[in-house]
Amino acid sequence: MESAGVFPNRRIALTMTTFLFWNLMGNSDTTWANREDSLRDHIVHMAVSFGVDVFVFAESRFTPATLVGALNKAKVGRYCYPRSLNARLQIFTRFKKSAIVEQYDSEDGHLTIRRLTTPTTEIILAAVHFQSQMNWTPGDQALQATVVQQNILQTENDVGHQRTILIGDLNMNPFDPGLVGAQALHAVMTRDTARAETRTVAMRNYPLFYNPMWGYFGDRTPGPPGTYYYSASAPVSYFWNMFDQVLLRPALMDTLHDVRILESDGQVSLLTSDGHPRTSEASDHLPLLVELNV
Amino acid sequence: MSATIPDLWSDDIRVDVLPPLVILRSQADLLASKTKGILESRVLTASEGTQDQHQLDLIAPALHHYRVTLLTARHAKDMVYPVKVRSQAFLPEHKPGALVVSKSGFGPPADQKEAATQDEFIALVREVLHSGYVRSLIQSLIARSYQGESDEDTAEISENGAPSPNPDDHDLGASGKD
Repeated sequence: MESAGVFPNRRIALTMTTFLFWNLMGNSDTTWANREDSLRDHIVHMAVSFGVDVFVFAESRFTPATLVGALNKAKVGRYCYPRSLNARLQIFTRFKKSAIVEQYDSEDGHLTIRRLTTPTTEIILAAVHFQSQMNWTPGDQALQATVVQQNILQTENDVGHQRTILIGDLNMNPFDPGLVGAQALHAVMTRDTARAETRTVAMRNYPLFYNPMWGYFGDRTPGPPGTYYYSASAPVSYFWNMFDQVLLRPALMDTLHDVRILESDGQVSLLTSDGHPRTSEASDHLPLLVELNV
Repeated sequence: MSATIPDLWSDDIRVDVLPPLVILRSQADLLASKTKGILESRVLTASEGTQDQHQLDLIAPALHHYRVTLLTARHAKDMVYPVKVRSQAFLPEHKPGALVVSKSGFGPPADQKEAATQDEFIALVREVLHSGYVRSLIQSLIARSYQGESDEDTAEISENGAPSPNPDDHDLGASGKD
């Protein structure tokens, strides 16, 4: 369990790449002005505490220059914002700007795929922010997940490998049809299951993803019970949801060093006294930290 | 004397109706010749449950085969019309990829329109392909294709928002990180 105290600076492993995804709740335009400064501070703290190499933000209202300036003042690397046609998902990195190259953007900005060259290899970084269940039915979300899968496959075909990481706010839980469906993201809960790489359904092969997020549900494992808390008035309410997820292709899954749902930025807690995301000062989502040995 | 019953059928009934996929593929085939191969276009289809979705993509082979979707067309598997068309080009104040904040959170998205017939679908596709958004995108990708990869590397935002003057003037170390 992470404490909210000062977190010692992490030694940067030369072969470790650290990703951080966070939905900044920018769609709440009435509260953004009140949260902007503290959000920026949280992001800088995370850069210092966790040695983040690649930040991916959804629902950000920051101008890229603002965050680049704030991150570089922390002097833990020279961050940049590689050019992109996609403004809905912001990607910042302390790699060279040429290390992240645009590969695909969806028409609505909800999916962006980049080629990322790390010190040891090239991987495909797909960042996504699915539409909310407020406007989309489960069937709509499942179709959209299928579209994402198709675009990832096309990109993998264009690039020539399947070392793919998909990270973002999927607005679905790991057990929803859009995550588990064979035609959709086809993400399974164990590496052993994913190792088969594909599964045959009705005489067609469908590629698999490994979804480590299954292992973080509930209060029997360290860290928060999910990434998004919502107490619904409907008969069925999960309270804690795992909307923010990372999926890995079998070709990349064995490089996974750690996944953590952050309850602090390394210095300041992101939770209220009830253990829920601190919505008034940060976001209604908790950040997701992923470390790969690449 | 009996009253004459008028023809109540719609005037746009026709027998040469094409599905959206065929219409989109025909447009995709045209782009390479129009741009002398600098840009290409392709249609990708995804199916799930009872729905099909086609996307018309623009591809820049010289930019690592960078691909961007211009529009999507979604319809029921067993009824190709009506078809819902989504594109950034439909946004009233077009800002590509920018946050589109819906005040109510309900209702169809601002970037979506529906076509009940082939003719309405063709009109929507024409609207997208003739939009300032798509025309600017095509011109930008053609220009960037001529620039090539070396100039692509200079594309970043620095602290003051301006392009970084000398992006590689610092020692990155063995890890490639600063």
